[in-house]
Amino acid sequence: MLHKIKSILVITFLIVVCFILQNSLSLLSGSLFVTPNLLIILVCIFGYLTGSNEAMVIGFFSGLLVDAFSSDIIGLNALLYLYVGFFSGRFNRLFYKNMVIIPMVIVAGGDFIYNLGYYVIRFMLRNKLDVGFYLMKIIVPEVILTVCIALVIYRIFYKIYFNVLITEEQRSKVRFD
Amino acid sequence: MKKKTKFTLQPKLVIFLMTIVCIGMMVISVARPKYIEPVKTAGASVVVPVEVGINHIGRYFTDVAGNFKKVKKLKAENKKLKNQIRELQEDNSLLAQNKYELQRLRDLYELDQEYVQYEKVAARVIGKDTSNWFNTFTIDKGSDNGIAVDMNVISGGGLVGIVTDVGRNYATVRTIIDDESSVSVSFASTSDTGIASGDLQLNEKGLMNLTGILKDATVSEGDMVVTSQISDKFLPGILVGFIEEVSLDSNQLNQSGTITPVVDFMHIDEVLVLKKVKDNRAIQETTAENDKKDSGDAESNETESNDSESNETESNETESNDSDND
Repeated sequence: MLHKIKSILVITFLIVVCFILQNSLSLLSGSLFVTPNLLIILVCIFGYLTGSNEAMVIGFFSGLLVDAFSSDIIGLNALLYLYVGFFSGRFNRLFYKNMVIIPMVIVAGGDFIYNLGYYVIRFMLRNKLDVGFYLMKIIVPEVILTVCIALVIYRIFYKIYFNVLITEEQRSKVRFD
Repeated sequence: MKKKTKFTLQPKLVIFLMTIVCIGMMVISVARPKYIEPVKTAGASVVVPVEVGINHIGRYFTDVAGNFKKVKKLKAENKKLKNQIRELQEDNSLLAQNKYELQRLRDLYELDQEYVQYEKVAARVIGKDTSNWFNTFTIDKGSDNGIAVDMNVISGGGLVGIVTDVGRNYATVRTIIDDESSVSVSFASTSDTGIASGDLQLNEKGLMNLTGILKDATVSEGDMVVTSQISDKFLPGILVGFIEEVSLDSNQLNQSGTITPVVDFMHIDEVLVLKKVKDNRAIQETTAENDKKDSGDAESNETESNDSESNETESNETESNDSDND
């Protein structure tokens, strides 16, 4: 029980930190570069490490936080992050300790799904149909930058997951693998 | 269930339920925005203080790094500026002559005076929309400083956007170059109106969309674009930008084109919030308040039947107010 509370607190802390960093980063970036999506990284990597259910909860609350701040429709980002969590959690069975490629692919896929969903709901439905432009100018640059950042962050998240989030029993299992 | 010793949730079931929850929230947030306020305030109370702190730290570092660069620059600049002063002095005498003319024109359009009078609140930008799709930002002043929804935000003499959401210590501003924003505008040279809307594609070039100008309107490139009288949320006469290009639509009914906004949206640091909500809006608010009063009276009727008479007269008064406003 104590362990569970600790996990929840740590995850909440990570969500808030990622959100604030992302918020401040987007302020800094201006027109120079697109903003990497740290919350997607968080959701995808933890989805890969822990599984769909956990990732969906993380995604849901991350999205809710984003919604509460920048969107007039509450629930849209929550829904998209939720699906990203579900998607990334499906790859949990591929989990292997020293593999870095798979989480990167998941992050790229997750970010792509999120942005595509956002484009379809918020832009395409308003008759902004130039998909090529939005793809090349916003989605692809964001995916690339997000994956680059994920490459750096993955180790940190993995350490947090390994040292804090799992019980001793599970830890020995991972070691054994 | 009996066979399994451990109860495990199927992800598919979870995603199904959560989807329903999300869609439910979306529907509620569109239909009854009041109910979702708690979610917003809860999020804000955690994040805003930290964000303000990070902003301070960031500002400090950019200041220090900037100082080193500056020393070199300043020396070179000093030379340049001295030369410039000479040139400017000549220009100045010319401009002084033009000033009289300008004053006359200003009086004519009553542009400037209009929004100089409004009370303003200065605020810092502390965060931006987390996605790359929209242009909204967060400022560090909220309802505590008298900011309300639909107040106009200016910076550097031009219109920046409008407050769309207010918390106790923060407010969200949607810029006019946001893809979902549109502003009713008019032109300084003629009294024609048009609609300036943000567009993500044009943002790349630093432009805004301009549509809906009548065919006969005599507008041309370089014309000053200001917010129009008929806009229901933007105060009249705030500078938006200048016409970059304008041409007749293919349907031969309207003219459309693009605007260069005066505000540099990439480097907004501090903004001014005009503490005035456009009048017709204010009327609506008062009627809403009256409605509230009515409902409040209804409640008190239930609890205190003695005061029913005075309440009735009051509600009659408010009703007459309503009809006046309409």
